[in-house]
Amino acid sequence: MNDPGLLILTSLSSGPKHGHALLLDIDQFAGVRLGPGTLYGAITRLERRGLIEPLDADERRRPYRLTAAGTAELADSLSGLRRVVKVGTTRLAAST
Amino acid sequence: MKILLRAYPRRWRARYGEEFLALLEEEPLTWRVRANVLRAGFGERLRGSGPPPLRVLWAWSLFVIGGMAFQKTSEHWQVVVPGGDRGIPTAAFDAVQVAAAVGSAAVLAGVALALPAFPRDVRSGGRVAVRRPVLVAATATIVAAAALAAVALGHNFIAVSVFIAFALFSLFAWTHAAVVAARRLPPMRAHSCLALVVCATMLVMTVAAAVWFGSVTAHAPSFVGAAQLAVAATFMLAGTALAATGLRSAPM
Repeated sequence: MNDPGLLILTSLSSGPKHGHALLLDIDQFAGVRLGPGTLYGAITRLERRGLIEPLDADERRRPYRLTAAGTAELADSLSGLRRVVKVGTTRLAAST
Repeated sequence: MKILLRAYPRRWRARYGEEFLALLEEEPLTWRVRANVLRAGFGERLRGSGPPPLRVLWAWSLFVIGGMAFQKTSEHWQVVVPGGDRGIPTAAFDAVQVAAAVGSAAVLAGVALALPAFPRDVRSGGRVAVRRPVLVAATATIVAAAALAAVALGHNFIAVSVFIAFALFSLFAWTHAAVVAARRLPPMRAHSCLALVVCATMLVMTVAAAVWFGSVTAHAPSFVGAAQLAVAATFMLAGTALAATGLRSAPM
């Protein structure tokens, strides 16, 4: 659960955020402190794929928000994770 | 902080530089953060270095430096190894020579394949894109040639240092110019195959050079200087690793 792209999409699902706000939010809900380079590497790739988009800069800080494609990608990823969690939980319970 | 930003390619800095700096100003600038930024910056450069075969071209340029260091290191090695024990180092040395010839031929073949499309691209607007890199590379080559002439006239330390610095700079500048030009051309499947050949030759040379080093130092531990060995090993391994990253993502 430390894929930076997925963490960013999850964070942006509660509304637009700039880089620093993303780092704080991800730290809070996932307990993962991303490095600034890792964060912006993931932002670059997500923007290239059209999953997030920049909003007008607030002074020098630029917020990002999910696109429709980003929302669909997040839903798809979470659905896949739910299946893994379900299977893993069932198998773990059977083995103990 | 702006120095850290230099790790990223210019185009990336133009798009994300200001907001990234704003983020860095809000973070405690620990060594871990610096390392993270540098790693991400060079990763971004790697991604922006064009299609995988062009990344292999960069890898070859790095490898050439390691190869030259190896060539210098291995001069007159037969003197320190007894005649009866030269079988393994001779085979390893010959493997390096053959692989170097094959790799060079593959690089030249790649250039030759791309050449016919180049004039057409220059006429249709490519001139603007390649002009600056070619000018920089040509200038560096002229300075290197002038320094070489100065070395020939009177062997002095400054001229040798300037020659080495500008010769290396020329190598990278011409590679950059070639990559800028080639990035504009239509991709060719043959280039992916040639990239595989070049990568294989780099791997062969690295392994063979290691075998040669091991067998020669068994007879003469002090024959290979630590500095020369460090340069050869660093650039050969870096070149091979970079080529491998290029191939990993290549549509073969």
